[in-house]
Amino acid sequence: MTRRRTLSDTQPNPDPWSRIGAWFHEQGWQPLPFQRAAWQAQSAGDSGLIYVPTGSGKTYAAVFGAIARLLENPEPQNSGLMLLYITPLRALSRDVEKAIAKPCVDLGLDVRIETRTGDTKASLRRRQKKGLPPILITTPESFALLLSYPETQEQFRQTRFVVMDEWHELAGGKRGILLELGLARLRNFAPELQTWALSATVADPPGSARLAVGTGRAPNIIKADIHRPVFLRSLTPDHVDAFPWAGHLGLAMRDKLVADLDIQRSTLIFTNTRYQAEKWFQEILDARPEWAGLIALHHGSLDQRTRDFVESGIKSGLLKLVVCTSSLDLGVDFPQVERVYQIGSPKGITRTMQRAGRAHHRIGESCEITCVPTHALELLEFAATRNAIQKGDVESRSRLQKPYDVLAQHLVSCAAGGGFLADALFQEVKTAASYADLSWQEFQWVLALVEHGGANLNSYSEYHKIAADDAGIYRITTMRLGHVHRMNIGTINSDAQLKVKFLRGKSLGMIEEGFISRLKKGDRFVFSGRTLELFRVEDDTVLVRLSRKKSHAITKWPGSRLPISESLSAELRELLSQDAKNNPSPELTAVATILERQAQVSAVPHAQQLLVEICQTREGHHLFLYPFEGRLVHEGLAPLLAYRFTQLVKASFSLTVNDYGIELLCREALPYEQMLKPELFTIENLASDIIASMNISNMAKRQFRDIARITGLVNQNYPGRRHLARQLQASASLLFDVFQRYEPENLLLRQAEREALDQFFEQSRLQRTLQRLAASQLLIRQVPHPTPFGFPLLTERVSSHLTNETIAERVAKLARQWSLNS
Amino acid sequence: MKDIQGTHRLHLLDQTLDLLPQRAIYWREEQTLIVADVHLGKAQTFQRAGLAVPGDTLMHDLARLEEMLAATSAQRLLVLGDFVHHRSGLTSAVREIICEWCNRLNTELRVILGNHDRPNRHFLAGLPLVLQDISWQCGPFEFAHERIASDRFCFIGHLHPVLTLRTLRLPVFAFYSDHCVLPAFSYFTGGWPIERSKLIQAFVPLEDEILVCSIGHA
Repeated sequence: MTRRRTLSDTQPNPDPWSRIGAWFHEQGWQPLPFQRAAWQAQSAGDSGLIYVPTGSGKTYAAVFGAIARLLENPEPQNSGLMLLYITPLRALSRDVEKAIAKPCVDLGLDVRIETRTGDTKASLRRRQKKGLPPILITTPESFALLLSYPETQEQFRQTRFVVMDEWHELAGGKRGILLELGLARLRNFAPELQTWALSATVADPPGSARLAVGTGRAPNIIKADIHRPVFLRSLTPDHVDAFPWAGHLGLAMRDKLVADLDIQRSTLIFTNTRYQAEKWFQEILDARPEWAGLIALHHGSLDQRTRDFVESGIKSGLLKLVVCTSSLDLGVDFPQVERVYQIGSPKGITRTMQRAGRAHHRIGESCEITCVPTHALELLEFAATRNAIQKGDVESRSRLQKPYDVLAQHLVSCAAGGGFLADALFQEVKTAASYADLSWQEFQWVLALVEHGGANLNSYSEYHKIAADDAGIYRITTMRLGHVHRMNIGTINSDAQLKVKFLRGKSLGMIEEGFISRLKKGDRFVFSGRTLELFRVEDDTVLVRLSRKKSHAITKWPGSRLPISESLSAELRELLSQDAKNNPSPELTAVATILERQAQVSAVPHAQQLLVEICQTREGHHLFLYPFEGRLVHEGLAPLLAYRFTQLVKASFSLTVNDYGIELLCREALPYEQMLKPELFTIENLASDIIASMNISNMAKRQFRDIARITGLVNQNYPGRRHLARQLQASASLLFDVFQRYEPENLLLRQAEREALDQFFEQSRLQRTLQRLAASQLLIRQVPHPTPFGFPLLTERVSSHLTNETIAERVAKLARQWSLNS
Repeated sequence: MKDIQGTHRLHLLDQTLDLLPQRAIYWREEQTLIVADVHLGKAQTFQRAGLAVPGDTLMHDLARLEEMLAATSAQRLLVLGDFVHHRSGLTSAVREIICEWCNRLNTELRVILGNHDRPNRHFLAGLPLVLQDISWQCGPFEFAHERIASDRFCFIGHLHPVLTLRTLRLPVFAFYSDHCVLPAFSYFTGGWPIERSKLIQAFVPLEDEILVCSIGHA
């Protein structure tokens, strides 16, 4: 490739940084202060975190340190791997490659820049096996894979820089933790390594930085002094009375939304679930059939080709409007996007800002996001979100502590990638911040798990995955086991997916097996912008036909129901405390009649009050509580309260929760007023009460799916003989049962329980909520019928399946009443 | 002989069949204990492939069979196929355990070959048991691993039938007009939702009781 003669060439042996400065000048750019600060830190040998809003030049802030070093080297092509760039999305790697290639080419730097992802061709992989290029762009999974090959250890020895992009997406989760372990290994191979993480705004920069650089050094934290004000605008309904108070999918705003759209301006419409994306896409198309060809659908289950087509369509301007899910949250640069909409509450401040930031991807400009409510109370969430954004609140992301399953997978990778000594690896693992307080005993347990299978050696007599030789070096026992392990590296959790195809063969995407298993032949569902009819399921493929009928009887995905974040909950409670008259935000004005009605019949609570409503209907005796703390916390709180009630009085409850509150429904009248005391919210005995009140086992089982996949108990990919693969199929659920029955003390079960408690109920958040409620003033109201706050819970109950009976009781009850229809 | 707790007694074609909560049927007139899909060595198959699954199922399932034989005083154990799982799980240690167990039994052991058994015929032929190729007729019944054409009422296995209840999956004895499908005996087995059309009766074996499901017609 010939390069242009440029200004930076004219000086003999120019210092790399002045050449880089000249290059910027040639592009018509001025390096920003944070970029200069980053380059200085890199030249000084530092590691650290750079956090800025997206699209603000962070890639260049991170990579020029490495480019400068390459420029100093007379033979850069032979320097081995100098810069490792890790990005969480395969799609992003192409853009990054282009961005890095440009200055390299212009500066006359003759170096190979390659990517290594799941898409990389076999011929390139073979070449990389012999020697890595000076600049390699890869994903966390491909990086973990490289570490599992013995020869890569030598190739990584000269690595000088590692950059992790979109670190906020990875940090604290299992994917990021596996990466931390890999980086700890890399630092061992290449002691001079400098680590740089690129991140969007986070709540705890020092914590996030520590995860990135490890415990061995103090990170340099560089913040961009860039402000991108975010403006939140709500579409309000004309008549609130005719507006649904409840319901997850209110299409009542459809016409208002369509009228607000401008097909001339590139627009993204975010929804919270794939089902909503499918539904709203169809609705918009129905309302504006002339827009067909200009609008598209994008979500994670669609065929890769379809997604690529939509992404390039937005970039090129061919497509003007895309209805999407979080599938378009991350990075790919869409400079053309001018407008962003959000249907339903984004349930979090950071997510709202991130999505608003997808529009006008240029430095310094403000972003606007238009929110469309699907029920009345969501307007309050929008107002609360605006307040929170103005205050600069950012949610802190929960962090997992030393997960065993990720460590187990890493140990096997190390055994396959050249081997390890137990002591040395333990010390290395502890330099990863998430395992900083891992005890030697815990490390031994996990090592024993991987080496022997479990505590009881007799139970695992045929299991031999890794073994130590006479020198104490642990290696994988057979090549085949190494192959199988490599085919399943990673932590990305996905349910068993089936391919969706037309009878004539056109592929539409992937869909969860769990969803399809509930359908029978002829059932209709919406997917990929079409209404489809299930024809047949063959092995791993779902064959479908276009449904001719346009019926309303369409099976819904359960979808992930995001809970409202802790910060947003607090803001919402504050908002309710404010008087609508003194604070006329358009949202509060719009729902004024509803809030007035609520105040008349019952009450609107202040932030320091807990509203409780007692009501009797034909269905029974209802108790409504409104902590306004989010669905997940309520899912833990409801059974806990029910359990504590049943310690006082014998009763059986049906429980329903949503983001705003809880309903306990009982056939008998109970002396609620007497039972509602502050002691009800005590945190004493919290752990044991939670275990007693919840079917923890069921929750743990859900978590175990993730763990089973990561530890390799449920492998999806096997090389070669398919019939053997069939013999090894066992669902994680079945394995969980087997462990519970034969080895209940197994570490992985414990981890599943711990994760269930922590993650599902955000246990510490539950504790904070209880403390707050115990200190709140109880507002108890007897109401003649359900109130505006209570109504959403009534309609929610249809899909709820929480009760406080044990599974066995439920089964017995259901079986006795059961009608099996032919 | 004392009844096993939770037994559900059925009368079919003048025969007395006790459905046992431990996923077996005891045919009183023939003093025969009937199970299907034992899959011995399945956990060991997983272990050989590098999957750390506890191997206690082997001893546990053999012990359960022995207990039921003792409790019922059965003279014959009839296995409706898939007695073993896969060659890779039949290691020398596992073979020894199975062999020793078979030799210890005082009862006749009759195994109808299932699809998992056939590749391991050589091993099975060396055990003190009677192998049946496709099916076996006894009294008014016919016993097989998979569904066959027959003019008798059949008992089969192979399908690992379960009833699904939202997220719960429960093994079930499924009765149709001309055949019955037994649930898989081993706990370490998945299952497939039963065919509901033409289902006459369904019984769910829980740990110590049998749930009787009532069948409605739309």
